[in-house]
Amino acid sequence: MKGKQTRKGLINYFNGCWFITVNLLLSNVLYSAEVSIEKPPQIISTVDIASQLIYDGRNLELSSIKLISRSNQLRKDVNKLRVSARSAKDEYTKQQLSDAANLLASQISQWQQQGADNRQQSSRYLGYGHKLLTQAMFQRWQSRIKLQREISLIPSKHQLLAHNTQIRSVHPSMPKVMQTVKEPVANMSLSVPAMNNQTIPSPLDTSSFQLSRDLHYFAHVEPVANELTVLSIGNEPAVPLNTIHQWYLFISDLKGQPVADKKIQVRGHMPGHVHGLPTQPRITAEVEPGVYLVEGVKFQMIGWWVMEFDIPHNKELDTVKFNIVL
Amino acid sequence: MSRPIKIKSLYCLLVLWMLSGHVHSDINLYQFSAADIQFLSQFNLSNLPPLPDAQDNQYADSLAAATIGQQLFFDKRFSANQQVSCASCHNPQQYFTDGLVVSKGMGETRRNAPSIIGSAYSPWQFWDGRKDSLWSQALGPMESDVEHGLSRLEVVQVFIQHYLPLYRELITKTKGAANTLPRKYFQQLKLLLKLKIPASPNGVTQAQINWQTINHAEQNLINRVFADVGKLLMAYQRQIQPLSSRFDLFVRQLENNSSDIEQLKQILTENEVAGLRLFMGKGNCASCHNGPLFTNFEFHNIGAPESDIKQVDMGRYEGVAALLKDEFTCLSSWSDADKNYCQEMLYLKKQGPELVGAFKTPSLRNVAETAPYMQSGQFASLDEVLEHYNKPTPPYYDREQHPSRPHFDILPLGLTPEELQQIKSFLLTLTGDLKLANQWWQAPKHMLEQTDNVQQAMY
Repeated sequence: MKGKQTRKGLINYFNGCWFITVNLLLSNVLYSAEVSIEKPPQIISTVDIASQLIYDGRNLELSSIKLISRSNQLRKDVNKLRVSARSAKDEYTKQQLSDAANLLASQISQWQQQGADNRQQSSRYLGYGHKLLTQAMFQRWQSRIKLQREISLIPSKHQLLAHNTQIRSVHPSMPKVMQTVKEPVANMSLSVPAMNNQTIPSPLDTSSFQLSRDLHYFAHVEPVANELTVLSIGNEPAVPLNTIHQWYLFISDLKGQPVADKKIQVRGHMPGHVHGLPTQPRITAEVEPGVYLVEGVKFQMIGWWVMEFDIPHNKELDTVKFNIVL
Repeated sequence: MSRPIKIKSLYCLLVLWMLSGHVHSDINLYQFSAADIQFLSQFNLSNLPPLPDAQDNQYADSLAAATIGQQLFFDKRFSANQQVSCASCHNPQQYFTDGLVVSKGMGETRRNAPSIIGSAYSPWQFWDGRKDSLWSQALGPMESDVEHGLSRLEVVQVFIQHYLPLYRELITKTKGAANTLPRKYFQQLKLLLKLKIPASPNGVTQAQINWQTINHAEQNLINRVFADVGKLLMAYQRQIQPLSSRFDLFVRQLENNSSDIEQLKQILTENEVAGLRLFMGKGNCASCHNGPLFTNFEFHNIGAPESDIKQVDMGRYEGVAALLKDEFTCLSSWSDADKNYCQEMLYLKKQGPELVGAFKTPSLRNVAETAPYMQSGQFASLDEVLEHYNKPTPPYYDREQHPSRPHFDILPLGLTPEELQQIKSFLLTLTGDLKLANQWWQAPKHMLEQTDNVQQAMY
């Protein structure tokens, strides 16, 4: 009942925009009705559900952005109405404008709520879709995938330095907090600034399984397991610092099918430093359809790194991005 | 009644002063936690790892090769005027530097002679990293008209004239070396003595013209011997080990018994320890000058002033361009390694704004004895260096010359003059004890005698 009133109020006020907004709200209802997370229909396969969940998740995300920006617009309009109300000459107009403003104001929170709900729903869909695709990828390349967690550094008994933490190889727009870290190091009387990492955003998605930006691909990376990356038997491969080593890049589409014969570019940088990798890694081979060998990977310091792979899709480039915290 | 109160409050003030003042801090200065000591151990010379593998030089770890290399290093016959040897600019008595602003051989070079101590650990050689191995590095100055001033053929001829028996013996003793040689190698080498000098694929016009008249097989032969001269010099340089300093003694004492403050005080003064703490801490020097050699061997632009703004020094940017054209890299046919071994060259970073005007972090071992400083000796003293780090000037930028605005890698430190002096005191503790120098730190015996004879004849 209340929802109806809300929508009515909005339609009255935003003659031009009601069509879109109603559409958005309705589509949300439809999404939640159509896709049941707990009991996926049995007739379609898991990867079909996964891709559907991901597309729906992305749409919900987009709609949530629109809903929230609409609520922001509403707030601005309320403010305008209130200003007009104050400057109105006769009491009647003043009262009318003021009532309108109050009515609209009471609706802002509902728009916001709807936006937040969509966002939450979206992240649930994406999360579940991601999980299903990860499982599918792991099943397909079971013998090859050695790492299901995030990529980490080979443990060292030495305390490692982040060579230029305090150094200004940072963009002027970089938040101040990332440039100066003065935290003392635990149990040390030497206050070594170079041992502090940059401030890393929290939470940071460091999963080694990622969807590409334009949702064409799903990919996984891990260091190739060998004597450089696996120190003792049974361990997962990890990154050796300051040592050139290799990675595998696994790529599937959203149906879980291997993506073969792609000419892929590798990029890497440290967001806190605006400096790139010390080497230029390259894809040197496709060891089997969808599994690419990345050679020349080297990290010279601890901290937050971003590795990006540009994968052609039709005539454009899609990018899959991995956050790595060493 | 009021008097005891006064005394009491004076006493309290005294206690407070003792607690907060320098008496307290002096004791703390020498107190290092277990984590501190573990951290400092990373800088201790005893933690220097074994020399890196050098598959591109089959003689790298041969003592026989090092012995020949040592003779080559001090041999002035390898120069146009018979006055210049490697040791002219890399004098062991000056920790393998020359004390000059920029080095002088046949003429004046553009750069300050870096010490070669520890250079075997670096993946890149020269200030700009334009060479990927010590053997390839050694060939550059030989052919440079302002250093040794020889053409490639002349270097090879001097070597054949004076070192052929030693060279032959080395090859027969080195496993697998003879198998890679062309038939009748040594007879062919003698024929090279008849070729017209100067001859080199680069250098003066006449040398290039003469080089074109030499047939391909002979050019290859010259290149092979030339590369081997570099490999012998590398084998020698790998034997030069850094000498232990007072800093290493201090860390060793901390590792053995950190509670013996008196013993620690005998090794480093309060100023030096305060400097050590600043070096690792507020000064943030250790962020690049780390490990037992006090360097990360990476390239950074710290905005040291250009010595000639009309011809700016592009540093690593030009170094990478030179590497791509170099005839003697790990990937070349003169390297002894399988191409897959040359990972640094295979995945060389060829672009990025951080290359422009960046230079390799130098080792700080013996830094007090290796003035002047920076790539072209822009700073005469450690005081000037520290002053620059404290209030750095951004790199010089010239739209016409630079491909992009140079990166600037340091921030002002805001240290007081006293603190700067303390860091300087600490840097003095990194000087290796020359009394510990072994035979590799001097010219081979027979050469020393020759020098003595010449000197005696002069007097």
